[in-house]
Order: sequence, then structure tokens, then C-alpha cells
Amino acid sequence: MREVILATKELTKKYNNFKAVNNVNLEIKQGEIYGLVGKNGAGKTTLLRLLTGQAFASQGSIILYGESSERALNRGRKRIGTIIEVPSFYAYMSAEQNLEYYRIQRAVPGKDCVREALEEVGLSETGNKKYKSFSLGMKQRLGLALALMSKPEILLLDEPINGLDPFGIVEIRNLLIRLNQEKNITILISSHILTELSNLVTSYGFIDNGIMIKQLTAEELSKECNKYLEVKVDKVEKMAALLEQKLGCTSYKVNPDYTLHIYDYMDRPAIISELAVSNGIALNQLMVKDINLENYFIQLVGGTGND
Amino acid sequence: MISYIKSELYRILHYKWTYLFIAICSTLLVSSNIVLAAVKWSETTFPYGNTAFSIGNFIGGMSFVFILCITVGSMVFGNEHGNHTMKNSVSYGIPRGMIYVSKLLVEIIYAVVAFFIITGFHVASAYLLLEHSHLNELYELGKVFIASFPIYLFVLAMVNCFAFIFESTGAAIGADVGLAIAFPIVGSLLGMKFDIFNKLAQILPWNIINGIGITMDPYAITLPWKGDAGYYNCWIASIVQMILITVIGYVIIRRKEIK
Repeated sequence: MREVILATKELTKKYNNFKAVNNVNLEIKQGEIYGLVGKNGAGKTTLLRLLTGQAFASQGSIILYGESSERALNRGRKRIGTIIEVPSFYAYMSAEQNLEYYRIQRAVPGKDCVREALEEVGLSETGNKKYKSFSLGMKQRLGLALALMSKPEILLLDEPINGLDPFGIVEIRNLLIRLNQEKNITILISSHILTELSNLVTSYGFIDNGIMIKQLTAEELSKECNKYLEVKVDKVEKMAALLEQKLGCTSYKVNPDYTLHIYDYMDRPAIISELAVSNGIALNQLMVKDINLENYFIQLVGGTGND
Repeated sequence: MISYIKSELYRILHYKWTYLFIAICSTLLVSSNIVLAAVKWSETTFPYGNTAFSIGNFIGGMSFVFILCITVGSMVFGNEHGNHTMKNSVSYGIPRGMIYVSKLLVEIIYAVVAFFIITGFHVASAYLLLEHSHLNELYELGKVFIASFPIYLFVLAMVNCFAFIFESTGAAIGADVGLAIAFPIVGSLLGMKFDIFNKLAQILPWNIINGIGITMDPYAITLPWKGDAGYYNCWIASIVQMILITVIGYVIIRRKEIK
């Protein structure tokens, strides 16, 4: 059983009579990649601002490494790397100077961590270029470099792939997966690009109007989303018969476009391909269909779109 | 706190206006000595081409240093609200109170260093270019610095307080000018009618600094209060007000949300 390292209890943030975050109970276990999903204004950023101490809770508490006093939270936050909203730095300094400023401030020993963080996010070649001349993608990368510089145990990332090009998105995704797998860094990530989250996260929290409406693991979501194998063959009827006779599989569907949707064997697609090939059926396509997170999310929040 | 102060010093050392501010102020003061020297050279009877006048002129302009302290404080604060950079520090668990006090200390360090460099250029150019008056000008300048130092501390504390409280730089500077300059002027005007305002106006830093001057014969500084009490009163009035505004800012900033 993995340890819960970050939790909230009935966390509420009120602005006058409006509850931006309403009684949120959250539990993030060590080593998890937790995806926070919600439309604009749902309360994602407010929740992250509360966790990072930028805003103060109206009610409820935050428990970080088992402690909830202000002093303990501030101590715990030294083990967290963050990007909240847009990354912010001093316009007249270069990437290296900005990181060096925070390295001194955070008393991180050794200057190597600055270079390493810049290399990690692909900004080591920016030289003396000032932050004010950076593109949005470069600013986002620098934000991530700052989050990584002090070797955090937890990353809190608010829309970290905003402004990145497709290559950048893949790079950052792979970096986050690597950090999680190799260094066991726990990650809380919010994003609007839901398909991107599905490539990354191990648990989901769906938030709407400040309320956490559902929390589930990626496995549970996969079941709820009815994940399936899509198979395209030249002899659909024969393939269907073989599925039943040879594999005893009855949870499949034949579609009008002559494709088969198989709801088993998601983790062992080779069995399906072997069955087709060994019985003289030409296999044109075999793929695990992506989780349709958008549809699931729209269904969950009632399909109302942004308010 | 030491780490935060060091990082702020690193930042201001990489900011061009840190140097430009000192360069501009020094150039203006050195230029005034060059003008005095040029006039003295062309007209030998010119009575002001000497160190006593140049340094006396500087002493008489201490209220200008008061105004420059507002610029220095705002400059060193670094537009934290506009840049949204304070959130990086707060997210790392650095308490707001520590940021507040550290910023103030850095503003004081920069202001003192800038003051000595600028004054150094002015005095050096005066002694190099002008006729020596041999009237203990540097001694009088030192006395003025001792009397006015706490007043500048107050100004920096006030600028720091408003810079933290107000998210707009314009609003913060407006509040600075309002409290530091307009309020004492209004207090003095009301003091002509009502004695209580007169007493209040006397201890306001702007009025104290305007009460500091110099007489040429004998060459000596004048303070708003006579004798040694002049120094004590300058210090007590300014330090009490500095502590008051620092504490008010500290209390507010501890509960202020950072964007």
C-alpha cells in the first residue's frame, strides 16, 4: 500500500459567496501521476494555488507528508516543484540567470543543478537570450526547469504543455513519465488536453464548479470507458467464428464497416493477431482504441461546456 | 533569510538600472561642479566656485534624496506583482513575512551603497575641480547623513510596505507620495490654524527633512530642533514611524494572496 503524501480535507475556498473550491477531499499517493480534469473556471488552478500556499483556504485543511500546520506545510513545499498558471520570471535576465537567482534563494547547493535542469527541458542553448524574448513554449520549459531544479519529490503542474508544439508535448510527456518511473516523483497535473493526460496519468480527479465529482484510477476509467481492440480483417465472419470457437470470446461486436471491436485481450493483442494469421485471415489493422476521455468527461459534467 | 537576501542582491546586480541610476545621479552632481568650476574659471570673482557652496548645496537638497528613496525602493522591489515572480518563492514555502523583511533590507543596502557612491563622486569632483574652503564641509556632511539616515529608512520602509500591498506600481507610488509628501504638507497647512496639527506635522519625515539645512556663516548644519535633541528627535520620530509602517505591512502581507 503506497503512502498518501498529499491530501486535502473538505478544502473550501470562497470569494464572497462564490465557492471556487467546495469541500474537496483529495488523496495523492506516492509515485502516482494524478490528472486533474475540469473545464475553465472549474477550480483546478484555485485548488493548486491553495496547495502551493499562494491562496488561503476558507475552510478545510491541506495535509502534506502527514502534517498540516502552516510551518510544516512550508517545510513540505520545499520538496515540491510547481508550475501554476503561466510561468513567471524576470524579463531582463536569461534562463540561466533566472534559475541561478532561484537556486541561491532556495539554497540549492552546487551550480550544476541549473545546467542539468536546463538540459533536461532542452533550454541549455539559449545563452544570453533574455526571458522577455522567449516564446511561450520556451517560457513553459523554463517553468518546468525551475520546478525540477531543486530535485522535488512532488510536481504540481498546471497546464504544463500550454504553448508547446507537438514535439515539445511528446518531449515533456516522456520527461514526466521518466521522472515518475526512474525517480518515483509524484505528479499532480491539470490539463485541458485530455487525450494527452490519458497517455500519462495513473489516477484521475474530475472537478466541476469547485466540486470534486469523481476520482478514479486509470484502470477504473478504462473499464468505465469500455476500452476495446479494433480489428480490421478481410474475412470478418470467419474471424468472429474463430474468436468464439478457439478463444471462447463472446464480448465482441461486428460493425457495419467490417471491423470488429473486441472487449477482451486488451493486454494481449498478439493472441488475436496470431489467431487471424494462423487461420489464413489477412489482418489489416489491430489497435487498442484510445480512451475517449473527452466524451467521458462531457458525460460526467452534464455536457454543458464552459460557463 | 540570508539566502533570499543573497538572491535579491544577485538579481539587482543583473539589472541595468541598478547601475544607470547611480550613473545618472552621479553625472548630474558632477556636472553641477563642472558648471561651478567653468563659471569660476571665466569669472574669478564668482563667489560660489568652492567646496563649501557645492557641498552646502548638496546638504540643502536632502529632500531630493528623500524623493529618490521612493525611486530606489520601487526599483529594487522589482515589480514583483507585475512579473508574478513572488509566487515562485511562496510556492517553495518561503514565508511572505521573510520575503517582506528581506526585500526591505536589500532596498536599504542598495540605497546606502548608492548614496555613498553618488556622494563620493560629488565630493571628489568638488575637491578636484573647485577651490577648497577649509570649513569642515565633510564633517557637516557626515552630521547631515547621521540626522537624515533614519528618515530615509522610513521612506524605504513605506515604499516597501505599499509595494507589497498594492498590485499596481502606479497605485503604490501614489500612496507613497500621498503619505510621505502630501500628508505632511496638508498637516503643515492645517497646523497654521490648529496647534495639534502643527505638533503632528513637526514629526512627519518630509517636514523633518525640509527642516535640515545649512548656514554659510558660520558653516554649520541646522536641524528642526536645537542642540543634541535635534539628532535624537530625528531618529526617534523616524524610527518609530518606520517600525509602525513596517509592522502594518508585515501583518497585511502575511494574509495577502499571491497571484
